[in-house]
Amino acid sequence: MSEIVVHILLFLVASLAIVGLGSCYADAADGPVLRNFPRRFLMFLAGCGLLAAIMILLEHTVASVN
Amino acid sequence: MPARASAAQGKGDPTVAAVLSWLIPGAGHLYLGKAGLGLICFVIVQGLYLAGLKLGDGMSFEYLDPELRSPFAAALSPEAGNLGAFIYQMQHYGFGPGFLRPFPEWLRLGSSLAALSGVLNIAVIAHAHWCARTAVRAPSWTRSAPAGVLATWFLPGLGHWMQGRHKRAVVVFVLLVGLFALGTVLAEATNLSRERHFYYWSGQFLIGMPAILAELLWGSSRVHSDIPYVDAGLVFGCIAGLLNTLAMIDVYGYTESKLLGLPLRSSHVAAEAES
Repeated sequence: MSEIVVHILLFLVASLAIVGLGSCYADAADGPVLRNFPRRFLMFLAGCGLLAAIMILLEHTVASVN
Repeated sequence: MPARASAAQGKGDPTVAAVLSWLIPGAGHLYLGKAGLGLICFVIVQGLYLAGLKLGDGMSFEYLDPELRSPFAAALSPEAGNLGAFIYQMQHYGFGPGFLRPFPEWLRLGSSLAALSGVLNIAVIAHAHWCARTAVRAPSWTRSAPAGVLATWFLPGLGHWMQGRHKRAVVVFVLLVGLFALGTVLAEATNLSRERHFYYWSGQFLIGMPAILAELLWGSSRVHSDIPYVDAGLVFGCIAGLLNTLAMIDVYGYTESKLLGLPLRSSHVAAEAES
């Protein structure tokens, strides 16, 4: 398996735990936790993707050593 | 404070009780007139720290690499939960004499006992804060909010299970212990050594018994070759411990709501309140 695939899989596993616990923390009842989980998970992935894009952009512009 | 909570006021300032307990375990209870309970807390929590100091000859902060040492470098450790004892250790032992010397045989156990003292004191602080805030008491000690926090530290999900929230208990256990186990596999058990990874160890100590048990079994494993995913493993173990604090707060908040008759936490209500 290629490195990038392994890293993405590991990131998804960590995301699952982070969003899962975050959802439990946000709602005391189980129903809303389950209902809101997919939306929260996608929001988390989108946020991380945006952050990664900004970091890559900065790495190739203002933070570039070249 | 909501009406039902204020109807049964405690008899002190919760912040003062909490800060006193943080500085000297049991002092918050003494301030609230619970001298007996305060003395018991003091003996157990300080006793554990003292035993840890004696067994490890006060060298647990010498695990920190020299380049990481600074006046507050050791504060990111579970020992800081018992602030008075932590300051005492920093004053009397600090980072050692400045040259390398052999670690005592029982340093690992000693360092874990001192860390355990810090975690236990969190429950003592929570209890003192609760007693100062309200006169409402749980039907039994095991159903109190601090006991739930301690149970969740000991085993992720146990606090939820004790509250009767069995599905959530299983989810919390699987997510956190699974993440910690995966981290340990990826790091080939090198994450279990405080000597190797002082800060990551501090984070994963918050997952309680799984980390302690794993350290007992595999904490002395040797490194024979390059470990490709060691960084990911360290992060996973540490995240699992840190996320367990969210589980502890969830357990505390649920018990608090039930006992004080407050509405249960809801993201829907929180969003409406913000808007």
